[in-house]
Amino acid sequence: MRVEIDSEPQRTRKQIQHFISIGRFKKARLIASDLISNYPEYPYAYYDMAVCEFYLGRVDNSIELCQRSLECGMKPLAVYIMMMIYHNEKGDYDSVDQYYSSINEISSVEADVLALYGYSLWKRGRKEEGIRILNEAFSKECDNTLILQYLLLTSKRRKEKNQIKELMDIYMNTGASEKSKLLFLGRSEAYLGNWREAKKNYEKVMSIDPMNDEAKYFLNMMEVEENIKKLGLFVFLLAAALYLKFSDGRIIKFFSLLPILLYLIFVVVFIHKKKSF
Amino acid sequence: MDKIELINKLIQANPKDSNAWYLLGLEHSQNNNISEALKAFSEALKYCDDSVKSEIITALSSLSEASDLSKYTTYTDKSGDSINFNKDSNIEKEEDEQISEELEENEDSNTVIPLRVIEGKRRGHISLDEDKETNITFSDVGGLDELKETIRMKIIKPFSTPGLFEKFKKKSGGGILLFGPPGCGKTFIAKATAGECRASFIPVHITDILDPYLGVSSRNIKDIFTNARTKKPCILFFDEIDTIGYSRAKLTGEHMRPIIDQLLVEIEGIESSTDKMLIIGATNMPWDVDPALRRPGRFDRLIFVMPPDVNARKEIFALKLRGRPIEDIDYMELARRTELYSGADIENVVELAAENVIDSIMKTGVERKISMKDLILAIDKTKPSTLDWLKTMETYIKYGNSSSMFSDVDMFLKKYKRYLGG
Repeated sequence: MRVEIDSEPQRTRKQIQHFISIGRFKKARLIASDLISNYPEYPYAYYDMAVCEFYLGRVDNSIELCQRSLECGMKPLAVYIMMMIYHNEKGDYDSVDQYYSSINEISSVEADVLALYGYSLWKRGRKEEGIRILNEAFSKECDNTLILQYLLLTSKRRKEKNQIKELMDIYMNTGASEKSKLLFLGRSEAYLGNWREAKKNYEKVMSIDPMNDEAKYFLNMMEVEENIKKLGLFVFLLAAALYLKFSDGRIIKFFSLLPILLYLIFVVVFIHKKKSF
Repeated sequence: MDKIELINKLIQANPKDSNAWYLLGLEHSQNNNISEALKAFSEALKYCDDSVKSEIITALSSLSEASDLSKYTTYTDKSGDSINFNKDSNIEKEEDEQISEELEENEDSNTVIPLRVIEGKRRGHISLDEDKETNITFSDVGGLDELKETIRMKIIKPFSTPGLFEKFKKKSGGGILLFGPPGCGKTFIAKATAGECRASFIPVHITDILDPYLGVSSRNIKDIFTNARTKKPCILFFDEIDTIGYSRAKLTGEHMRPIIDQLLVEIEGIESSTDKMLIIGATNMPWDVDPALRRPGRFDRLIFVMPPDVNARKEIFALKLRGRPIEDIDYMELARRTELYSGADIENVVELAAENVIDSIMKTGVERKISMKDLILAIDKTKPSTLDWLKTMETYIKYGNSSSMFSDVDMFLKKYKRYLGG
């Protein structure tokens, strides 16, 4: 279906793209859905709706919609890239490989596609190959925010503190939004173990986007940590009191250690959770 | 004619001198040379800044009124859809074709075409049906007395009786931001405010602004304001202002920036050029509104549209149950049980109760009416949708250090802390 720029579907698409760009995926999806009912042969409507479905957590729908957009005549390159992202999210790595080679056949691979493929290899356990490709993507386009984010994730796993610091510096000089920069900083500081700094950055994120899930999760975690610390003192006092109360040699006095034991298990679980952030 | 020659020389020296073009227009209009005057004014409009723009537009309006050139007037109306928005798109298309044909004819005969009066074609589609004095007033808004009083003091009185306010150099125009949870009647209140002010109500939505062509979206904003300035006293209502003036700190792309910048420029223009024009923005995501828009001189008066109070809820229940088969309904009791429910939530409760009654009739075959029991059951099954909004607002105030800006929300949150799980 050939559509002129100044046509109804294109004007409506502009609205969809606008709502996607400001993160209003439900609203964008609603408009895309109307557009599909009015112009069932308009390929971009399916493509845009696929993006919305992806962000709303319905990856299978995204894949189906992308296929429909291809059937309606959408140029394959953009669709293949999105398909790579969707299949990577789904963990269907065979399809990722397939789409990657299809992209290779029709065009020279862009840096972010290369990075996506490298990250996909990393995720499935082919660490060295993944890092090599990620580095290749980085050398092609060192200020691409997507590549920097993938690199940050892999650096965290490899505990490369210097690289994390370097990535922070580079990210700050990109054209990313203020919110995105703060999130990157918060994440990086958390990976470095600078929890206080990370908290400050996430608090700043919350001050401009109180609905941000990542910041909310982190700050809740920090709040739990504070409460655990407060609880610790109480638990030790309780244990001491119980021990003194039953200090006449009865076996029951050892039960006073139970709160401490439970508390320590709780602390270990929390530390594990915190480290896996 | 010497004067005209002199101005022409000035223009030759600096073709972008809007004042010279404006003076030339005035001279031509005095000499009844309408077409030349129109041409000069259109050039002046091209290069002028906001402070002079209103004068040029006034001169243009008086020119079209004074002239008896019906043909020219027709052209101006058709082409200047930046002024006139109420064209049906199909009619507009036909008319555009007609104009272009006539244009070609005119080109052949070397006549000056007043089509150039306001350059550029507005691509948005704002229906003029809505651009009228609204009949809704505060008497149509149930309850919310506190809010109505706030609006009366902050908006209506300065707008309708500016005398005292002028004496104390208190502005009567400018921007007001209505914010609150979704479904609590922000749009309705804005319309009622316009009704109370007896001003034209011009609603604007993001769909009226966005255009696939580069640069046209920001031009649409400019045109909307130009149109509004010709319709004073008026209220320009930006519904979902957060989608237009989205926080730049969160924007990754650059595509929105020109739109926000233009909006800022135009609002500042209002501040300097008129006081019989009010801009009301409504949003349920105040944290997404660019902070620059909330600075003094822009949307500096923030009004919290809270969920309906007990009296308002009572009236909403009565309204929603009107015309349905009901028996023994204690509206006050229903209102008491639906603390923090929005109008939309109450509608949902009524729908749910009606559905349950229909279900039971289908099952038993015995017809009955909607009773208190059905409604209470429906209330028990639902929860207020405003809770999420209030929790987000609580977070925003906590981390954004904005408790002074949102002090009334802060007080409201403290009052209903028990509902928020705090």
